[in-house]
Amino acid sequence: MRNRSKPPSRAEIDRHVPARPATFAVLAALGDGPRVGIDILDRVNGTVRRPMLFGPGTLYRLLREMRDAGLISRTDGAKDDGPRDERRVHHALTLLGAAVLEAETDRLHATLKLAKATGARHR
Amino acid sequence: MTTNQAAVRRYQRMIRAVLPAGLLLDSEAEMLETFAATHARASRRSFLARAVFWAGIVIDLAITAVSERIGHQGGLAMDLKHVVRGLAASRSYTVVAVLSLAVGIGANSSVFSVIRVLLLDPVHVRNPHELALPYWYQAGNFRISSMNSSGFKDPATGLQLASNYSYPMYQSVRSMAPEGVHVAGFNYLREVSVQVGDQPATAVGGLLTDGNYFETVAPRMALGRAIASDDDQEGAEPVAVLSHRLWTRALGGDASIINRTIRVNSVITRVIGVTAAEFRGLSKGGFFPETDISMPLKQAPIYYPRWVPADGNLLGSERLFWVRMIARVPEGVSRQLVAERLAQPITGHLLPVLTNSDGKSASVSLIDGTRGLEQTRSETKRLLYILMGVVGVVLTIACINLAGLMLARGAARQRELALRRALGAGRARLIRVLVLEAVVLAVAGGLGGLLLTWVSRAGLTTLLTAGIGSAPLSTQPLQVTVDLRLVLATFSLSLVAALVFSLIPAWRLSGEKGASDLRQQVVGSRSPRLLAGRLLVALQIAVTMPLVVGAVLFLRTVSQLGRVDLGFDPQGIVYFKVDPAVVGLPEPKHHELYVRLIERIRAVPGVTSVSLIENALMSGTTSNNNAEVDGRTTSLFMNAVGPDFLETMGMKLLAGRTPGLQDGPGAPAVAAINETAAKKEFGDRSPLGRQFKFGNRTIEVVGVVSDSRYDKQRAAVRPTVFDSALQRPGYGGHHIVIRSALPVEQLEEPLRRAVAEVHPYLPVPRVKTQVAQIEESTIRERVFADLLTIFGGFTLLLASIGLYGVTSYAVRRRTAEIGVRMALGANRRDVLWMIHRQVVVLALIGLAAGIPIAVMVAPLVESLLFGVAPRDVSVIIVSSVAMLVTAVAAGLLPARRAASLDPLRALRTE
Repeated sequence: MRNRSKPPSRAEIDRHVPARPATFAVLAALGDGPRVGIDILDRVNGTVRRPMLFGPGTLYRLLREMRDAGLISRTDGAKDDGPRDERRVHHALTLLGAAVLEAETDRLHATLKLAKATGARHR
Repeated sequence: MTTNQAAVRRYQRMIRAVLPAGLLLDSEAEMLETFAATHARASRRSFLARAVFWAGIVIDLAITAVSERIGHQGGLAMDLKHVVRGLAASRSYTVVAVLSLAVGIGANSSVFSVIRVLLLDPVHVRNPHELALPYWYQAGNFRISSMNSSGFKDPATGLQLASNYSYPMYQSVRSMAPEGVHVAGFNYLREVSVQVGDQPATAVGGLLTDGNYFETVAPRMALGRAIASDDDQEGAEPVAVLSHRLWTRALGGDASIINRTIRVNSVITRVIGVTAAEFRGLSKGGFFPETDISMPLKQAPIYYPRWVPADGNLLGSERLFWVRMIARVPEGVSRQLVAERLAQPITGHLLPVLTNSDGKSASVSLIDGTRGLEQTRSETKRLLYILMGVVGVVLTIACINLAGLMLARGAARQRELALRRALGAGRARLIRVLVLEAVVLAVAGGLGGLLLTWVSRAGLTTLLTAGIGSAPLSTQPLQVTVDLRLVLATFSLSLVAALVFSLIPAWRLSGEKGASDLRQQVVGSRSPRLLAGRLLVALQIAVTMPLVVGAVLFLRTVSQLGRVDLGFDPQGIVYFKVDPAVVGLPEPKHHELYVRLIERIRAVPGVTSVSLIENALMSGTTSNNNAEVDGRTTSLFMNAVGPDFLETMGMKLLAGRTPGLQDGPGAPAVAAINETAAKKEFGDRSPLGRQFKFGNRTIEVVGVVSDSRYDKQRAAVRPTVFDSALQRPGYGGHHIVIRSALPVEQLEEPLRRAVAEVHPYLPVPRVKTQVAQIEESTIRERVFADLLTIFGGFTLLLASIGLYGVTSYAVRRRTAEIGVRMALGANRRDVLWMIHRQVVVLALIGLAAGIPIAVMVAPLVESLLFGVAPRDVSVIIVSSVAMLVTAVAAGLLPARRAASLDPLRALRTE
């Protein structure tokens, strides 16, 4: 994580939890490091049945919104595990984004556990 | 070009067409990149898959475009935030714009609230449009007297109509009413003394009504019953109907009041009903007092025993015109026919009192009674229209000012706008931002106006009532409520104005020309000269001129009125009226009561001297009469006075003496006359010992006193005979006048107690100071002076802000030019003059247009002026100079800024 600012407070995190499905999907897509737009789009569309409704317009609107909310940041293309590509813009989780991803994942885990315990079908 | 590149181009055109600039600035390149990647994949697939891909792209764009515009990030909300932030940053601009709109809207909705109540609102009864006031006309002269009458010039025929009827005449007219038409008689009572239990008597406005009145006017009753025909009989038990207001105020809204008795003018009277809260009588207050109590018409002789006409009793007299009439004509009945029928008996009744008739019979006009009696007050209407004009001008100037401000602001923001446009902001978007700013300003101004209306409603309506109603009567303010619809109407007017004025600069500045202006500015060319803005400022000055002239005229009037030598010393005089007749004292006993009152009140601590006076000075009331002197007939003013009159009033004795305690009923009738009367009747010869014959009363002149004003400052000194108040009862009693160093608040209670000791039931309606009376008599002039000064000053302020704005702009625009001039040797004075010249030229253009307007409209207020002509040259000069000085002062700051520019830095600005 490039963001070296102090870790987010509980209240800050709670403001974003529960996350909207699209927001959570983008956070999840960035969980293993910065990505370019098309990668995020593919990863997010991989989670839904009708991929094209999540097109470039929707994606970049959402990315800007998440950036304004401090959940992600835009990088100049530095990638931890690969060659630098100066022309391509990458999106990465901020400390807050990572914390929200973690909190939301925990919440969903707990919900899932509850669903299983109460007998919901699961494949 | 590959198919992929072509698709990316197409996609770019699409997103540029539909997406807002914000998102494009942020992510256009990335979006194209991502699109290219997805399209490359899709293009390798089937036709159907490609079609689905493009459909998806279009839907995605549509969703994005719509959510961008309505969403909280880039749409209206963001623009709004932007606008509010911008307005907060330029605080002085915002304050001036909002304040001017607020005052414009507030003043208009206040004045229109009053106009609505007086001229537009119907009276609160069932089907008010059916009401009609039968006024009559007969050519010729009449030897009659009338009480509480009001003439009305019929605009249709030009005939001077009369409102009042004698009692026999009223009975004949009423009997002619056709089937289904109600006709009723009534008249106003200005002061009725009402006493509940042991509480002190209070004075309220009242009405005498016949048995038909309540059926005809049909107000709702809150309690009990109305006055019926059985009550309106001689010898019937005295009954009264109270207003809801009197019932709640004086009786605490106690429902058990019905069938209980109260004292009305000292007559034991049974309360039979209370009218509903919304009914406030046929007059809305201000002219006649609101009707708080109603008694049967035929009981007038017991409530007003003094109303005895010369030719017999009140109900039989053909010469005393004291009854008004009102009719209810149902829809479908011809008013013309009703009027013709009602007119039939009139001429017959008039014959004995009519001279110089043209032989034609009388006619009746049915005047619309929907709005009660105010309809007949043309003077009121004129004053209200003048006021309407004044506040209309204020609103106009507020709007012009706003337009000027917006133009100037637009010009100042030209660079910003051009930059935004160059960066791809759509024209619609820019216009939206500018219009949004206007809406925000108008809404803030509207809210401010509402607040102002609400805060000022009590004060302003009292002020307006006092200023518009006939002054001595308007002690009860008009009931005016702030009408939200009115505020909204004024508000939408200002909204429309703001929109129009914002659209013009928005359109101009957001166009292609705006973008090219950026280039011009960058290479150092000149910016627009803002001709429109300068014309607006000149227009503001022109429109302000009439208000300033009006303010100067009224200030001069008030000062002239204050400078009038009254001939007596009003400071320290307090008086109140007593009428021994209302407690049933026979006339021969009156003088005893007065003497006892004088003696008792003299003993009140702080009282220096006590006297009697029939008509209080400066109250507008006079008595005058024909007298015979040396065998010729002359007309003289009269006022009955008591002992110590000169001491109490602060007047001087020139010869002989004034009436004293010894001049009682048995003694020979004596009087002092004032200097003017002495000169008029006797020239240089001594008036002492001479005699006046008033009818069968002969009065001997025993003294001459200094001149004093009688009824009002505006009138010349009246030739007056001061006879003895102990020898003549006067009309409705006399005033007790007191001179004291104590303020009236400390004096009132002891005075009332002193009166109660002399006679427990004698009502003392109101204790008043002479100073208050004088102020009341000039209230209309002072109200107009106040209003015009406030509004004139305000508009002048707005005009100077406008001037300041355009001058500052000019200085900024010409900074480089000034630099060049100074570098070439121009000194401070040259620069100052260069800037001031523009201000002076603008002001002169404004004055050139404004002076003719002022000269045209000033005669509208002529009847209110005193000691100054409406087109007085000095007033116009003073106003013009005031405006010029204000204009130069407004230009001073920017001009000084220009003159103190450092030439080097000025040159570098480009």
